[in-house]
Parts: sequence; structure tokens; C-alpha cells
Amino acid sequence: MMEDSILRVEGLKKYFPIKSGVWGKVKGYVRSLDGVSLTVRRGETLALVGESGCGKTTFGRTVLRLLRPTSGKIIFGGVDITDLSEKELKPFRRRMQIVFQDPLASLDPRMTIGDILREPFKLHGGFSLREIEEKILQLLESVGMREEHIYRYPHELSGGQRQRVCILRAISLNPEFLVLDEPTSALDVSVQAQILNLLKDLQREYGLTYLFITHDLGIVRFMSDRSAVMYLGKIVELSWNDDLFNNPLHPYTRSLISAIPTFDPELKRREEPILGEVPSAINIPQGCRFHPRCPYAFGACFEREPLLEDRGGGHLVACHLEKL
Amino acid sequence: MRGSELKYTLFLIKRNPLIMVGFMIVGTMVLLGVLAPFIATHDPEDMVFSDRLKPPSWKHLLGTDDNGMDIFSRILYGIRLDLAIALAVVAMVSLFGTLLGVVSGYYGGVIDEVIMRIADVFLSFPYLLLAMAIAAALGPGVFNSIVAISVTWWPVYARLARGATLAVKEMSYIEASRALGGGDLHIMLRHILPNIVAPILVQATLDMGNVILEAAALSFIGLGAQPPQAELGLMVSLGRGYMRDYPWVSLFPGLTILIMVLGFNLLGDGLRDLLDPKVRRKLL
Repeated sequence: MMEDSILRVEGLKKYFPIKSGVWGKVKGYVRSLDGVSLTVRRGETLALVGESGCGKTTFGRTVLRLLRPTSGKIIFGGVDITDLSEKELKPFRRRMQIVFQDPLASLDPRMTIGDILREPFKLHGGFSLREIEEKILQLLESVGMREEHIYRYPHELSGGQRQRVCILRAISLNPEFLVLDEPTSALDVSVQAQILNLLKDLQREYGLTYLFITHDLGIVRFMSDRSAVMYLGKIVELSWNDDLFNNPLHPYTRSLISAIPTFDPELKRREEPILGEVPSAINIPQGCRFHPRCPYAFGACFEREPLLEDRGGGHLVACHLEKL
Repeated sequence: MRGSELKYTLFLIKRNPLIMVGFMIVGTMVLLGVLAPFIATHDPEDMVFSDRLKPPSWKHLLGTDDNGMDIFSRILYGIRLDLAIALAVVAMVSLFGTLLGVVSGYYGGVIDEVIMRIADVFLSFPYLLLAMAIAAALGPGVFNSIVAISVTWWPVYARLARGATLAVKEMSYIEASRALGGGDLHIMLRHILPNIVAPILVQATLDMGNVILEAAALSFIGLGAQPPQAELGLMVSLGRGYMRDYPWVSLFPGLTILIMVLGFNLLGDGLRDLLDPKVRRKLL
């Protein structure tokens, strides 16, 4: 049953309190993550898909312990890192990294590219100044940038170059696991492809494991091995890509897939519109959280929350419908 | 490119005559203050009673006061003293206030509440009134007036730095640094501080003028420098009884304060425009 997992998350919850008034009385919670369990296998790319506000970004940050989980367990490389202090986490920090959506915002505008790339080496120590200089030059050259870029500031680079610097910073200490939080959604389409290819090359070269967070199903198919679909802080379906795209078992997944634009105007697909709006994560619907928008909702959906269960071959679904 | 950015800055400075005026006034004042011992024609505290209340002449360029002290020389030393007071106060409060503000904004929560409520207590009094009370309690003197002004002034920087920190700390590069293993101190010193330094620099420049005014005010009412010390506010105060018949005794020190404060204000306003990227483009 235990495959070679690099990250195992069990029942992860992250609630943000809503405070009001002078005394900061808590009057409710935004339930960004409401019990998420999944396993990321070593060397794979697991895509996490969902609408904006579904908690996918919160998930990425929480598993890296950039946010403190409300409850649940995060097991990284066999070690429970859920409650480690910042100091105890430091050795894990170099093993897991993150690349953010907006490359300009994730580079300190007062630092040169050289300073930015030196930071990880200096923070973790054990490198001589000459080693560091050699390494950052090597890194830059590996993505087609030049020595002169060391002296540039982030605003002087193009969007693609900035994101490459962010990726270099993330992989500089040879991490095993990378969270990619919509790394291409702030970039031009032509640059997107370059960055995605770069990420694939790096994965092959260094045996990296990716958690790829995105709302773009088109990219998912290209990038990942398995995909998890998230809805309002919970995973509703998780499977191998072929399985998920050809045989979606959850009505939400099916609607998402039917909404992928295609280049073939002749192709007729069954339209599967989703009804209404995403409910707020403050007031999550009773029973199945998708039922107000689900065209197939029946009795049980209003009362019981469906569990995420294996329908064979590692295809996990949380839905009361036996067959879609 | 960094080089072209510098050229552009120089171009902006040239295009904005007021910052040039401010810069020249401040530069001249600093030069006069630093070189006071070499430029002064007389000892600033040398009383020659046969030369009391003499009008400006070649012997006494700006005349003499009621004790027969040379006003020109006293103004030079006054500039020196007031600049030194302002520099001491501004350096102290901007450092201390900024550090508190960054800590307050970065940690938030209880720490933030405590620091900001203390700051509010100081801000709820009029500056000068509180400074007067403290100076009176400590006793008159230059050092005590520096202490008095500093104690009342730090909340300005704490608030400014806190606000700027709140904006900066939400940026992804802060989170990226944390993901790399950067501790709180590293993030505050290496990422937050460099990114909030511009508004603080502007405030510090403007405050040089404000502190000079306040130091002069304290001396004027007798709580700062003591006679026969050469301090501009004190000189205005001592000459005020002779205003009608011997106006130069108060007039020249007063004008010096005016020009000096004006210079710092022009420079501060100009710096604000130069350092603010939005205004920067508009100036073109």
C-alpha cells in the first residue's frame, strides 16, 4: 500500500479567523482547507486544479509550512513537520521550495539578480564566496542567461527571465520537492511554453517532484502525471491524467473538462455548465459541498458529505453517485 | 540599466529648480556651520561692551548685540549648533522610531498594539507642549532639549515605518525568503528595511527643518541653549527687546532660521518627488 511518497498530507485543515470589532472577536472562519488528504510520489508531477479561491494556493503554502495548519498532518520525507518550529524546519527548507505566480513581486526590487541568487547559499552556509559565485554563474548559464544579468535589477529583466531567476533560486540548493504556484499564469503564452519546458527539463535532470498548482487544465495535461481537482477546500477527484480526462467520475470535474477550449471548431462536445456561483468558504453548504451547483444532486447529497474513495486503479472520487 | 537610471535622476534634478535651490541652501548652511571657526571674524562669546548694539559695518558685518558680541560670528556658530542638534535628534528618532515601526508592522498582534498605543500617547500631545514640559522637567540646556525633542518625535517614524512595513510584508519576495529559510531578523533587515527607506529619508530631510524650528523655539522660551551660547532661537529671543531701535539683533538670526528651514523643506519635497516612482514619471 505504501508507495515511495515524498509528501503525505492527512486531513489538512487551514481556517482563517474573521475578526471584528475593537477586541478582535472571532465571528467566523474562512475554511480554506477543509480536510485535504493526498500523497505526492517521489519523482512525479501532481497537478492541483481548481477555481480561484478553492484553496489550492493555501494548500501549497501550508504544506511548505509557510502557513501554520489548523489541524491535520504533513509528513515530508517520512518526518512529521506539522508542528516543527521555524528553527527545526530550516534543514527541511532547503529540501522543499516554491515558485510563485508573479515573478516581479517575488523578487526583492532592491536586490540585484546576483544578491537574490546568493541569498539561499548565504542563508544555509557552508559555501565559500568563490563557490557561490561559480554556482550562480552556472545556474544562470543553465537557463540561457549571462554573467551581465548578475548586476541587473529585477525590473530590468523580461517576465520570462524573472521567472527563470525565481526557478533558479528555488532549485539552487538542490531541493527534492517544488511547489509551483501557477508559475506561468502571469506570463505571455510564448514564454509560458518556454518556462514549462524548462521545468520539465529540470525535473528530468535533477529528479524533482512537483506539486503543480494551476487553474489551466490545458497545461495540466502537458505537465503532470496525476491530477487532483479541488473544490471549496476539499479534493473531489484525484487520478492519473488519462483516467481523469477520459473518464471523469465527479460532475464538477466533468464540467471543468468540458470547458477546456479546443482548436477544432467541428468537434461537438457535451456542454456541462455548472450552475450558479462558488459558495463562500465562510458558509460551506451542508452535505456534499458541491450539491447546490450539481445537476445530479439527489437525497444523500443534501445530508451526508461524500468521502474520497478509491473506485479502482487509484482513481479517487468524493461523490454519492455510483456512476456518472 | 543602472547608469541610465542615474542619468535620468540627474536630469530630473536639473529639471526641478526647487530641489536645486534646497540643495544649495542646505549645502551652503552645512559648509558655513562646518567652517564656522575659520570664517568667523570674532569669538562668538567675546563681549566687547564698548561695541554694544553697533549697526552692520565692515568691522561687524551684521552688527553687534546688546552685549557687544559680533552677530555675524554668532550666526555662524548658531548654524553649527542648530545643525548639530537637528542631526542628533533626527538620527536618533529616525533610527529608533523606524526599528520600532518595523517590528510593530512585521509581528503585528499584541506587540503592534502595545507599541502603537504608546506612540499614540505621545502623539496625543502637541509636540512643542510635550517637549517644553520635558525640557522644563530636565532643566534647560542643549543636551536636555535634544532629549526632550527626541522623546516627542519618534512616533512619527514608528507610524511611517509601520505603514510601509505592512505594505511590504505582503509581497511574495518576503514569503520566498521565508521559504528559503530566512528568519525574522534576516527578513526585517535585508528585505523590509531597504524597501521602506525612501519615505523615511524624505521625512528625515523635512524633519531637519522642523527640529531646527523646535530647538530654536525651546531656546527662545529659555528652555534650550543658555546665554551667552550662540544659538539662533536664543539670539532672536535676546534681541527682541531692542527690535524697534536695533532690529538687526533679532532680524539676522531670524532670517537665518527661515532660510535654513526653507532649504530643508525644499530639499525634502524634491526628494519625495525623486524617490516616488509615480511622481517620477510625471515630472518628465
